[in-house]
Amino acid sequence: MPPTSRTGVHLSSSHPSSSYRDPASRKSSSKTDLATFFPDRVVVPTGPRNDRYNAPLNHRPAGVDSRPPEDQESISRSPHPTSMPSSSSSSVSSNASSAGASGSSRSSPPDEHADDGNGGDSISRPARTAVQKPRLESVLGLHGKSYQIEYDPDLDKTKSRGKEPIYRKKTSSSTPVARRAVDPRNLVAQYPSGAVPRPRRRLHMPTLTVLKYAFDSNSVGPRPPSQVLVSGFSRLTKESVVAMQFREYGEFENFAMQKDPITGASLGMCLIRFRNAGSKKSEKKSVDLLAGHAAAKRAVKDAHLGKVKVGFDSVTVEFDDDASLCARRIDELAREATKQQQKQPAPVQTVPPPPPSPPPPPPPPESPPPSPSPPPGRSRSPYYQQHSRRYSRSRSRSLTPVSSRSRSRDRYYNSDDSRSPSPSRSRSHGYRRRAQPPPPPPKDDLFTRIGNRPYIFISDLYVPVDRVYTADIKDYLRDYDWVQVYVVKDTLPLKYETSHRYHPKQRELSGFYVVFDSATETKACFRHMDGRTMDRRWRMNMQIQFPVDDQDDRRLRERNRERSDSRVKTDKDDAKKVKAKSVRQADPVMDATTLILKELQEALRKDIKERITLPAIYDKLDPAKLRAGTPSPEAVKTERIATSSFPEVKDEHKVDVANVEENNLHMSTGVKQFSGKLPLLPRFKKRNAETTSTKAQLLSNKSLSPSAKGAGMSRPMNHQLNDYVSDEEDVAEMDDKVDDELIGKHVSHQRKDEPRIEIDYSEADDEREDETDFVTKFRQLDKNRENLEDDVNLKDFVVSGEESEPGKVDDIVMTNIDEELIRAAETKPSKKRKQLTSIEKQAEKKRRKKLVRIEFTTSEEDEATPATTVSTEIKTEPIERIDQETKIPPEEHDFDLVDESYWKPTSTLIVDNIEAETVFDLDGVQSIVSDAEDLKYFQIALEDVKPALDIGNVIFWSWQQKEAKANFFDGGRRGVSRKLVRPEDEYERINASGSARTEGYYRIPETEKTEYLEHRKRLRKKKHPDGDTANGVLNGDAADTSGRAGTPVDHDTANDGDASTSTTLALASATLDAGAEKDNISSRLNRINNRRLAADINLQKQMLSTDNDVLRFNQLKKRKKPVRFARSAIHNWGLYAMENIPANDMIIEYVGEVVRQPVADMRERRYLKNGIGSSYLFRIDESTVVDATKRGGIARFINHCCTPSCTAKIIKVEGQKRIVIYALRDIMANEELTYDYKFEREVNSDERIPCLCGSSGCKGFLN
Amino acid sequence: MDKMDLDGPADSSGDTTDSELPSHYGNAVPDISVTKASANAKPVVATERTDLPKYVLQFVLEGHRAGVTTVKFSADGRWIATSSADKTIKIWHAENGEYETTIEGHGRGINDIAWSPDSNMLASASDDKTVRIWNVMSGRILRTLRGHTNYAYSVDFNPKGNLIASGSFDESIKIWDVKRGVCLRTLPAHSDPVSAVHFTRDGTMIVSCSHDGQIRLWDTSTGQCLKTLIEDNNSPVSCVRFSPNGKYLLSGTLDSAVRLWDYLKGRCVKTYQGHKNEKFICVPTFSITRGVWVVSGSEDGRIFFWDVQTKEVVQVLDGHKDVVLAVDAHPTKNLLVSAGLDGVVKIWIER
Repeated sequence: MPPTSRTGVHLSSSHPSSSYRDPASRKSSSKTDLATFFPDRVVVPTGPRNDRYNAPLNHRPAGVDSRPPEDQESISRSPHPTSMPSSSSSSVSSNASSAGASGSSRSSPPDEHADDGNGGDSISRPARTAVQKPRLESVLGLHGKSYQIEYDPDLDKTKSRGKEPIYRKKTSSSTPVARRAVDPRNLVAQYPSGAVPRPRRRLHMPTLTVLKYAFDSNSVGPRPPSQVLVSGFSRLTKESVVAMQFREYGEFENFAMQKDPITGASLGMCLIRFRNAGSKKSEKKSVDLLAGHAAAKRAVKDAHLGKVKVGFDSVTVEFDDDASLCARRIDELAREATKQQQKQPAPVQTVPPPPPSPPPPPPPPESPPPSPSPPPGRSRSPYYQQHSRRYSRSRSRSLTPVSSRSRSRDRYYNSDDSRSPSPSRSRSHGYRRRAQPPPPPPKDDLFTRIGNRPYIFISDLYVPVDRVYTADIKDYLRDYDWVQVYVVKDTLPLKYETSHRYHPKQRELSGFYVVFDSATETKACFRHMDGRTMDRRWRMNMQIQFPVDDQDDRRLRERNRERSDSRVKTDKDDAKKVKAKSVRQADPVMDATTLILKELQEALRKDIKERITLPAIYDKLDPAKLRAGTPSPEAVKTERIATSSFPEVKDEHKVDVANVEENNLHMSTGVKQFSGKLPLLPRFKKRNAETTSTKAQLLSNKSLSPSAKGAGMSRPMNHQLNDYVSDEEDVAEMDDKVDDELIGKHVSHQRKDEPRIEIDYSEADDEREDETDFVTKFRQLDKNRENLEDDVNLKDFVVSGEESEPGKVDDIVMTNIDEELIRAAETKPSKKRKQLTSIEKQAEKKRRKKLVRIEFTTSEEDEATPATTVSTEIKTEPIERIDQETKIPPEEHDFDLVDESYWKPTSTLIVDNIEAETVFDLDGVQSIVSDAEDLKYFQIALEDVKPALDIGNVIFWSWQQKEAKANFFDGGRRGVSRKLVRPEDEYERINASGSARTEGYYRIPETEKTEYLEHRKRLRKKKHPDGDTANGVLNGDAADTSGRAGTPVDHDTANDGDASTSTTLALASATLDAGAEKDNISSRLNRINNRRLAADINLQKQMLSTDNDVLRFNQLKKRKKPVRFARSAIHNWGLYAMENIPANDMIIEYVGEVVRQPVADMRERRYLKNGIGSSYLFRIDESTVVDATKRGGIARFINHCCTPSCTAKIIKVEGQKRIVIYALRDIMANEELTYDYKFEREVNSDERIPCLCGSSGCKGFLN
Repeated sequence: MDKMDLDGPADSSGDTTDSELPSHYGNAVPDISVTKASANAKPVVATERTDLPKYVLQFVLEGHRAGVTTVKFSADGRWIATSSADKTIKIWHAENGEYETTIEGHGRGINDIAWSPDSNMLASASDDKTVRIWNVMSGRILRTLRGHTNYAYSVDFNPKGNLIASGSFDESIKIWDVKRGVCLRTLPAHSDPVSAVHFTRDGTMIVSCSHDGQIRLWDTSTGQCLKTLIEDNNSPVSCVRFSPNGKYLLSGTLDSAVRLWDYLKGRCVKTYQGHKNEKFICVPTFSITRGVWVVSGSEDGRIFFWDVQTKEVVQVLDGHKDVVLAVDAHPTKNLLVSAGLDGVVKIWIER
């Protein structure tokens, strides 16, 4: 997962590989910042003691060391501290980087004195910033000669020149000045032995140091480093060996041998992270926090003291908490490796260059080729240089660098060196060490150390190494800016050496090597000092040597090479040759080139094949050219494209004639491809129309055609197959072609070429009034409506349109034909023809030819739409067309043609039974008219149809039609042929004006309402059950109502203000299907039981002799039948029996408020006013009315019927008049209960209430 | 419980007309002589009134091939939608009357249309018994609401745009969910074709009217009938709509009267007369952009403006050759659009 921006940035910045700083330096970076904030102030670095853990070894700006030596030279001239050897620089603290980074100490002079006293214990001394840098330089020793001290108050106390030391900046161009700095070492008696008096004085701190606390659990910031980078051991060392060595310091958290990212080989480096939380659980946590660091520190310390050895190698151990150092090292290695590879073919290579891969072939056993310069050093990476230096330091016995500038170490080594013989037989060059990391300490190479620097060799012959100390040499050459002086004490007999014409570079000859940083200095030294006598005894005969690519040394090197041994030379040449050969063999560039070339050739060949050869072959195979067979779609396409741009009329004509013949042939031979042939015709027609196609020509064509019948079929098989398979596509294509022409000739030029059409039109008008082709006529038709007025003209134009098709030669006969003739012509046993006739019939039947005409022509146009787009995307054309055509099959609702009936989709394209199932609309016509022939007959069939409307742009119009159809069918499902399915029993009443609103208000007869109102429909179905379907519908409806009943009931009660509790009853609707007999029995039993109960109660009442209302028993209630109310077919609501009710059984009591007559009248008016239309007033007698409107039972829902099922009786129950509904006859469950309202007859017809009972004996009115 | 008393206004959100309307009720009619407009005579309006509407014809939009049944401004005022008996809906620019597009797809003539509140959708009720929801700009159908067993006669969006109420010749009101396209509720509302449905501004109530002469108020959420308003003469109600503040109802009846109802009190407060409306649905509407007028078409091809308070005819526009079926006022501008059986849509602008 890629980090999000903010965190990403943060992460990357702290990423170890990208960070260029050690954790230690990061620590000091805060100080750096401080310094930059206060540039004038001296920022005091914290005491080294506090900083101990981020001390020395790896504390070196990495960029410096990674630079090539020539860069280092310049660096060393800058006043900034530069690289320092890290292995033993215990004196270097993190101050270095802080001072260097701050850059504020440019003005501060170096302090030679501090330099002096900067021994092994300098760590313990706080340093003054002012003296830091020079001290560092001097400590570095290697490059630090940027300043020379002129006056040091510490040393020259006698002279009172002030307390500040005086410096002179030394530039490279400066010649040795007369006044020289006094080498303080000379003042020391036993200087070489290392006894240097320590300065007693401690430098005081200019400012207070920041107090440092040991890291504990409360500390903020990075932990002290617990990871170390171990390097310097052999690459062959096993992981376990290294691990074993370091296990004693602490438990590992992580142990990773570093491997070459490319080769995967070991790099002789290893990252070890010590576990912080130690294994000892008893220890405190705070201790544990630093356990890892302590272990690492111990390891670093031991390594620093040379105690740590892996195998036989003393290894370097450095803090590397975030592995950045390691990454850098690896990076350097890689860079060096690449550099080496690049430099390999360098001509000046005198030594077989080190192979890039780590395990190199062992060097030739014979004596190595002489090398005038130290190339290995040059070609080595700084990394290796570093290492070699480090090796040299750690193994000072093998080689002794002597340097006055790197005092602390050099002195140490020097003392060592002076005693130890230098076994400088280590001719072994860098590659060797690298190649064979010797289990014994690798032999250091003098030239490696000299590196790319010029040096002066003073042979042992002149200045004996065993007699003269290096210090003497240094002293003698003190005026010159040398860097180091090496001494090689060769064991070889001098005689042998001298007897040969040797070159000092070839071997490390015994003698002194004075290494300089700059060539000019070297030269100056050589010029002045060569041949001088040293100590009045030794004459210093010097030999000057320059690095390889130093320009001044070119000549010298040439000379040296000439002087080199011929045998060696030949060897070298051989080696060179071999190398070159191998290089050539393995040259990836060459390989790639050949590969690419090969591929290019392939591509070219393929291209030629596809673009040149194939078309040519296709051309050859083009049936048109073969004068037989239908051209393949592609050919047709290309042809059309070609012709559209270059109308070569004559050729076209010929081709088409051929095609016509072909078609005829196919017709006659009965190949089942009737549609495949004709389609070409329209195009032909157009061309003919454009040119002068006369009837005579056509006739001649006709005469030609029989002769062509005999011609064999030379169409390629696949073409035929294609045609056969994609019959429809072909047709489509053909239609498209027709459309091309209908729309305009040059489709490719314009999308909608109105002007083009105009031209056509005018052309046709002017030139050939009679023979204008169909298109122009049609355009004309569109534009000049008056032309279409007369039938004759139209007829003419249709026929002429046909006529202009040359292929249909027999059509010419039909110029004056009537319908019969057409029919006669259709005697061919063609299925299509049949369809056509059916179409005609259909059309006639519908008597909408006018519209069909329009439809038809537009259908044509509609198909042209793809064709117009075709020109823009020629390549996709065939596919597009196929899509179009396969999708099109089109039956959609046509609003003009289909008489407003609904069409339900069928999923399949109907081909067979078209007349029965195809809607005769735009798409229907499209599906029926599948080729030009159909088109023709269709036109004939519709020729006397006049267009109804001005439809404007035909394409747009047809598109709109299709869109509208799609919309009608809820989008989607376009182009699916549809079966005519008239929804059964659907109420259909069409407003003549188009919509109900424009129709205005009209009273809908109640009988008509029963056709569409749901509940009435249900009733109707119930009354006339038509078989199973009706039942099914009924059941469904019943379920529907029962489900829906819940809501309406609420409305109604609310509406009418009915507070009755009947809703619960209504909701408890269930289908009760019980046997009638059983019901009868049960009801009878019920009644008996009820009577008994009533009798009992009455008995009790009598016994109690109280007329208590509480005990009043409504017998009627007990005898009530289960009923429910629901929407009624007769009126809003009705009451329905829930079980079978036998005749003469009591059903329900009509319950309501008993009011007097005047109250009832008043209420009636009020109800009317409030819009409660239904009357629920039941008159009991003259003075009493039961009002069930607001309070009452559900009996009020019982509707009137002229032939009722119930009757209302007024009975006296316990002295009160009650209205009770009795069944007149046996009533089935779910039957609506009705009774005769017995309204008074009204004379005024306006006040008569129509009866909606719908029964057979309905009187029509309630009153 | 007396259900006639509905507590509080149905629409709590204020409106500009809110303060005006009630304040004048009960006041004496100003002493202005208003003559009822006869068929030929221009109505005499009070000369002392200076705030009379002065609409003049600006655009005539032709294109429908049959009578235009409804014309509606979109809620944002940018568009005019007209529905016609020729099965099409046409969209026009409200500002300049330019024709924009035609929406086709109904199988029959369209009776009513309604804009969605966001002006992106149109609902149309058609003789083909369907209510359809359209994407206006693409002209594509979004939903087809099937269920009515006879002509869908009236339709309205609720203010949220998630519900559609439709009234039908099958005497029911159906409430549809726009998103799912399903019928949520069927209100067995009337005993005659439901000629109009209209939501209140907050969508909590629906008012419907029917040819049976009743105006009913429904609770949208429960489907309860809250109130029934009925006229004395029981003439068919052709149209009903809430006033912009939702406190009154404006109804048109086929006794050539436009009535303003205080539905809380259940009584008719104003009756506007002068036009002719006996057969067709001449939709009355409010014009509130400058002055508060009641506007209605007439069957004599004119358009009548009444002062809401005084009931006087303040302007009569003559321009249609046939019955003016629909008028609508722009929500913000002084624009009026009218359409009628002659298939012509006219935009009137106030000078």
